[in-house]
Amino acid sequence: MRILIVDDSVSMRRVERSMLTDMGFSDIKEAADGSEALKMVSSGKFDLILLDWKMPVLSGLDTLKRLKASPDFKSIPVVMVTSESNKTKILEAIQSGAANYIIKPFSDEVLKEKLEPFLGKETA
Amino acid sequence: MNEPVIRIDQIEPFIKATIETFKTMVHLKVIHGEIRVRKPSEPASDYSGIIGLTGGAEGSVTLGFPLGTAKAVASSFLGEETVSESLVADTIGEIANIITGYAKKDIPGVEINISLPTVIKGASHEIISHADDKKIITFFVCPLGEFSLEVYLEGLPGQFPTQSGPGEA
Repeated sequence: MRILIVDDSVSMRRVERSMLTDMGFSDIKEAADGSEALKMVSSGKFDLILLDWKMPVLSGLDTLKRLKASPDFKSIPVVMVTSESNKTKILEAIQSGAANYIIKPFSDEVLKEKLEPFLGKETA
Repeated sequence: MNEPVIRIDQIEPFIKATIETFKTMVHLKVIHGEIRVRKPSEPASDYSGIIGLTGGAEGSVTLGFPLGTAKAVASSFLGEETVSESLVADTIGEIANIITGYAKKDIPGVEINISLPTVIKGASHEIISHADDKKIITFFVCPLGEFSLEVYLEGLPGQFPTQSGPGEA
């Protein structure tokens, strides 16, 4: 299973990578903003995307909308992992196609629970 | 000159968010100490993570650490023994971002937008703004040292001025 972490914070990407590694995943790629993420998705297959909201260049919501508008990529589950806690915005993300929504701060247990529906048999 | 009133209803969400963020992502128990209006002579930090607030209310949130505490907190956040200076700065900005995002969900009645974090690094630097005499500073202590959180919020509906002593929110 190939997972893409999209977050402008390198420290947050490391934390998410570490949690995913502990869950048994090893094929993990990283992008620092939405634009970089779209390029990576266009050039390689991904099974799951963890997407921050507030990022420079291209926001998480705009990235999500572009992914869901693409016949090639709309089936990739996108889980928002963000500090954006406004209910209206959470609803907007879900209506735009987000498969799930994780509000920072979160524990590894919460990450595992929220990702479970989209994970393969590699999880511990 | 009258001392500005501390609006605990504005500060409590940030104290709660700081405690929760450190518990969940830095794996540390933190306790808040004194809450008061920031003094012009306030001791400066070595790392400051700053988040701007716009929308239904405007202001800023500044998370300030001495050098040793910043490094230790970044190390605990990342689960890595050695952390580069740039990664310490990134971590402080991200923690400030998480705290602010978490806090705003507990501020009812307004939609607040938060900026990307800005991090200032430098021994005992001083941040000067037009709102210095309106910032409320809360001090925290954790097993890795002390740090502070400054909150400046303007434009919120409804005010419930009160005072608070040290303890957990």
